[in-house]
Amino acid sequence: MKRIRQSNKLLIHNKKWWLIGGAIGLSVFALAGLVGGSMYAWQQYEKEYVSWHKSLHDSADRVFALPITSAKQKTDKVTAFRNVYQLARQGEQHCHAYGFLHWQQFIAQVKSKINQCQQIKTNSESFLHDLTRVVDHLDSESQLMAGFSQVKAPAEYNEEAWKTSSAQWDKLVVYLGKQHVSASVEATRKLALQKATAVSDAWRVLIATSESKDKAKYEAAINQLSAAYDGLNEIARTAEASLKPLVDTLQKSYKRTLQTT
Amino acid sequence: MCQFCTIAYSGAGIVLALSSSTTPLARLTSASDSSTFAAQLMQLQSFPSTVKTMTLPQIKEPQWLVDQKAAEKAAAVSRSRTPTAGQTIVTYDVTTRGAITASLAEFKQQANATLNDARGWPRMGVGFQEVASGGQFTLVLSEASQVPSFSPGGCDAEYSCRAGRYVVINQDRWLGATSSWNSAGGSLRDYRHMVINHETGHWLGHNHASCGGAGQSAPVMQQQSISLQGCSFNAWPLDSELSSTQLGIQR
Repeated sequence: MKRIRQSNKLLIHNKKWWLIGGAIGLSVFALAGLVGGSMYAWQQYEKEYVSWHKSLHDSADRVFALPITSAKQKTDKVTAFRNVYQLARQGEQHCHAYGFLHWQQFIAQVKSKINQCQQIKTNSESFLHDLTRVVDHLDSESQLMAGFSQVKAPAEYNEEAWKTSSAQWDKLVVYLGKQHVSASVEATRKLALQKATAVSDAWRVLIATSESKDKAKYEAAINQLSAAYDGLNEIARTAEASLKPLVDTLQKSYKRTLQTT
Repeated sequence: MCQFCTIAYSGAGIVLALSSSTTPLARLTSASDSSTFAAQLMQLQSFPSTVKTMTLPQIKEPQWLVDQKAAEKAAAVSRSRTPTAGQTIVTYDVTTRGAITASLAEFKQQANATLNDARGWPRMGVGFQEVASGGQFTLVLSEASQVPSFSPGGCDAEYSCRAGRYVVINQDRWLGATSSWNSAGGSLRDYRHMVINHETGHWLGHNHASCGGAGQSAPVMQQQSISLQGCSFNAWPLDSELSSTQLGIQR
């Protein structure tokens, strides 16, 4: 009886150890799964943003390499930059560490990886912003250019052609007054409006003085017209000067985002 | 258990750290040359170049200004060609009759240039000066149909003529010479020289002359508008024509 009791006690004791051993085994197994899963998840996390970043980088370089020897190629290139813009926007969905992974940030290497992704994301957003400003600027200038392109030079500037020119410049003044452009082009638009108005006025004066057949006034009107046309160069200078800082800023963000990682 | 977890996480961290050492990010380098970056983007800007092409066009002067300038030039030429001491000064005024479509300013300028040309009547020591009115003779640019209205002289609408103090140039001839002149290849400017010299020659006292012989230069007083009679075109008075009963100049 005593032996039976000792035997039962031993069985109970062994069962307890089995249970403990099993529990430990399961824990180790679960932990190994967790570690393995986490490693896989973080590798995917990194793979995704690296892949996106490489795509952005390659796309940007491809666009920069596009030739621009014709007006159409210029337009195509600006459109291609818009596509880079779309790709850059996709970066907004990266860098988010889900709940399962989020809590692991206390591991220095994990934290570093998240920081790196977020740094790239921040830089890319900056690049995106600067690229958008340049593309919007060019688009706004295209709006203005479309108006100026409507002013056609006749084969001969005889008196009949003066009236046509005068009407075209009047039309341009109205057109420029109605345009809504990006903030960086607004100064150029205002100046273009002012200078186009000067040319428009000068044509009107020329026509009037010619009709009065007053040689002195006619010659003064020709000088006024000449000065008004010379004034158009200021628009070109202002336009060039307004794009330059945007390009410089974009260049910096490009280098920061795509060259220094 | 917690000690176990710490060991496991550390292991995972080590594995991640090792795997990150081969991250593709480190391999990314830019294919773009940053030095050309700005230049490339600036080249995308088309607006300034479009505006720069908008320069002051070559304005064609209105006809009234052309006429006015020609008149001023003619007046200046006339002044510059004012006969010098020793020359006989002949004054003339200019007028028109009928509907005139030719440029009067050009007419005045070219007529004055012809009359004072060194190849012409000035070779006999005369100079011609245009005056506003009261000239010794009146040079008239006349509509063709109005030419017969001048008298005396028997002028017809076909040609130019001289009627008393009026040296009348037929506008049609001034603008288009004659068919015989044109078909023989004579220039309009030479015809104008000829007709001015011829009609003024009448006023100076000359009658019509005939061709001196085939191949010779036609006398300016020959009716070259009608026939050359075998002579060659000549817009200037021959030496034999350098006289004027009107001015009392003998050869």
